[in-house]
Amino acid sequence: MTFAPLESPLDQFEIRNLLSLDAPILANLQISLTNIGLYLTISASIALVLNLLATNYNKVIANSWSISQESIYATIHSIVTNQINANKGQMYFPFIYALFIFILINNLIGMVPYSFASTSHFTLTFFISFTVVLGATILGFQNHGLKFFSLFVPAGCPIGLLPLLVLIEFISYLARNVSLGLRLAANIIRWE
Amino acid sequence: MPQLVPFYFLNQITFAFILLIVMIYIFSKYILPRFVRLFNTRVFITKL
Repeated sequence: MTFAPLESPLDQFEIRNLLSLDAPILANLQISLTNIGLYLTISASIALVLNLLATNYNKVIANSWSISQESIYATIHSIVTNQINANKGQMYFPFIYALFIFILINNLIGMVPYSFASTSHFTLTFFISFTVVLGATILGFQNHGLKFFSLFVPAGCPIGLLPLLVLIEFISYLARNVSLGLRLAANIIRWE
Repeated sequence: MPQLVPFYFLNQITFAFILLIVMIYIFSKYILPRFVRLFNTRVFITKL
């Protein structure tokens, strides 16, 4: 059994076509299953199957499998109640839970040798970060109206510095999109 | 950088979007309510 040597360290992140349907209908429709698609599907399946199997048959007393699930639940629940809102923030709990598990399992799969690290792709991480920040902004305007702009004003700042501080806060709000996506992908790519 | 070759950008985004939507739906409808029922049961038993 031999493994092909890698030409460059970045070769392992190359997206390859595994299966594709190339149909000359509907403006040259091309549907393809790539290796990133396969690994994303595997990670979603692992998340769902683990949650379905580690239920301990709904018994009240937990075993070790369901304790692991309950501790993940408790961790994410404390993040949601502390960061968003103790009562109203629980509405967004399933979304945060799915996002957390999806990114966690993708990162863990990326650590397996000769597998594929899906989160090393800037497209994926930027897609997640931009959509989440855009959705949070839309929800902020929906819930708070124009008071949402008070996010850009730090508490207790002098009135003379206000234009400068608002500009800085606005830039840091926009930079958060980029930094959230860039940090994850850059950490996964990093070769040590 | 193979991450920056734009040939499969839409493919990745479509896969990620569909899988996230499916995961959120299944989690919120079938998996997470089970946790709430379990914790509710424990609270109920301790209050008996």
